[in-house]
Amino acid sequence: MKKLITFMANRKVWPIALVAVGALVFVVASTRGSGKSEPASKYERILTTVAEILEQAHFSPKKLDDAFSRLVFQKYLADLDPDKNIFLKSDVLQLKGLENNVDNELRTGKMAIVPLADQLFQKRIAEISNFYKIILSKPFNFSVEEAMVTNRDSLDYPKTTAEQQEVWRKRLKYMTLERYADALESREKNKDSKTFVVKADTTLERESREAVARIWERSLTRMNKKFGIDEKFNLYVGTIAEAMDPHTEFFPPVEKRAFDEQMSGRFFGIGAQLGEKDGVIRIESVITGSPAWKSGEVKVGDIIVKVAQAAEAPVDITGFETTDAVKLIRGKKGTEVRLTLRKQDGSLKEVRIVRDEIVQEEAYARSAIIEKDNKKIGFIHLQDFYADFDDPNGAYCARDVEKEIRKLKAENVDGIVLDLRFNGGGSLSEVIKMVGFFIEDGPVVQVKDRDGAVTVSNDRDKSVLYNGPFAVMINEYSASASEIFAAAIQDYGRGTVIGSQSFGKGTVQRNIGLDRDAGYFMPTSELGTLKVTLQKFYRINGGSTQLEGVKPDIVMPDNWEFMDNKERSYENALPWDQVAKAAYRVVPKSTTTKSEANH
Amino acid sequence: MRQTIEQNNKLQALDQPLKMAYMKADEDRIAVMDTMKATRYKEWLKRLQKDVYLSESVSVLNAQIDALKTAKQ
Repeated sequence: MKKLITFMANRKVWPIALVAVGALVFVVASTRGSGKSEPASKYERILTTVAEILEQAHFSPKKLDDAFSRLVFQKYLADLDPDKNIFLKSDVLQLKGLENNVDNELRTGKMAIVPLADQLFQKRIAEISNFYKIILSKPFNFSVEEAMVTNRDSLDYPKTTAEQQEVWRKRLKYMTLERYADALESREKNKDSKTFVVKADTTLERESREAVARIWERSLTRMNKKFGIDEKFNLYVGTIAEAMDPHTEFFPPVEKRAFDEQMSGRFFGIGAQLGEKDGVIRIESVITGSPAWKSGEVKVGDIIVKVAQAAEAPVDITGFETTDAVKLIRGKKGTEVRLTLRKQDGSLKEVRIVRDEIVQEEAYARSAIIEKDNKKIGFIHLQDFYADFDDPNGAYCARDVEKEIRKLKAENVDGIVLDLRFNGGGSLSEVIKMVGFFIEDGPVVQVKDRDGAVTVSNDRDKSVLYNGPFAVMINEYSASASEIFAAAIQDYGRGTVIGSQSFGKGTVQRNIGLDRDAGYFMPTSELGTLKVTLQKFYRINGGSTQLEGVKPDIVMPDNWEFMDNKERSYENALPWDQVAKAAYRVVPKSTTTKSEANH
Repeated sequence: MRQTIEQNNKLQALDQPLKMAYMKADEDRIAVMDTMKATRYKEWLKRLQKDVYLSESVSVLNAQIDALKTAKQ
């Protein structure tokens, strides 16, 4: 979800961002060339640059001091070992000696926490990888009454290896019991069916243990192979960024690429759909005409064993999740990826494929017509406010929605419903254009920067594309740009907002590259990118959607209401506030019906 | 718990699916898509046809359209 709730700044605010970052470049320049003889390591460069950007550009930066260090340290430890079953108490005490060190590491780039955490983590994972198999090698006795606490937040770390093994024994027993109980229930339900194989209790118990063993085999292999020091460093920088607010994030290069792919709806890959089962990744389908299809060597059912970039050594992807594998397979246009495939006859084959553009057309706006109560209603679905910032001819949601509205008007619809449920946001400039389709001209959103200056963003186009009856559907997962859209439609009285109260994200982020030499705006910095909260946005009525979200005109509660998975559930969310109301006129209660609306 | 979830899901699915279709141009586009993609497009529509929230939203809009017509008469 988190990733979906992104919101990029409007291109129109570039001058403001440039001022902020321009100042930063100056500060950075003055701290460089300080006579260091050795070139800074990648980690050092990332840490010091992140510190500078956070201090100089964040909307409301926390002071980088010991209190901040402890906050980051606690969060990092919890992220590394959320169930408190990997580290021993002694490991945590050793790490705790460094809990006030985060701010120093950010200033000097000299890293101590991550290498120590990595060393201890690897040691414990190796131990767990040995003993979990022994625990699962013998049947559990389910007639003994035992208790275990599944949420270990309030518990301490195990003090000894024996204590840790006991924690694991109970956890593995519980996981086995869940599967065993399901298997018994299924046997009871289906025992009379001719096709059902009735198995003995002992068999079902053994199969349940084997299923649990497979899960941990995969999970521990992943922790061992995939979650190395680089990944732990990325998690560390991510924790530092997110300590500022929930939407300031660190993207290592590959994550930034995934973000761009989501924003643009296109990527460079091989054109095959992958799926994971039992710890292996298989080809599920091959898109006709794609590079994988053209190679003639990639077939549905093939297992991907290794992935290599051009001349580099191959990476064994056993234990990888599909998303991790996809990140390795995708890359830059025209570059080569080598896949080692296990074919269905068991043979291994290496296939060389040159990546090409694959368009995820299914992520774009689409529409349909609903007939109900003798009326024709146009339905438009928008998954996010996408914009291909790198390509003016690429996909932009406002252009696509405009096309859909024109198509629906040609069909002579009586009204339009725009579905923004689960729409996590996107480009601000696209929202402004889209609101403009439904109003004459006027303000759409207000943006405040860290110095308190408020800028009003206007739709300057007097024409109205659609002035007929209009409704917007939202839910708890409609965030950011979706909330701006729904709020503007509500404030203008231009349509009815229906659904449940939206997410409540009222902040604007911008991506800043971390490679000083390449320049901060290099979108593909080799060191990664920091998505920083630079501004807050406000409704034209002056209120903020931050924490509060948009309250629908007609409330329809749904399944997710009780989960309270909203901006306000983040402890470090920025507060709600308001600015002055912008000058706008509420659209008079629509008196247009189809015949007039379609002129 | 399973029963409650089942009951909840049932309550949220329409007994009578909405009459909902792609426009001609889109149908032509889907007709020439590869099978998996075309299936996903069709499934998407099928899911929405049972969406009680969509059905209610359309009813709200329809009521407003009726109210507008009455006001004009």
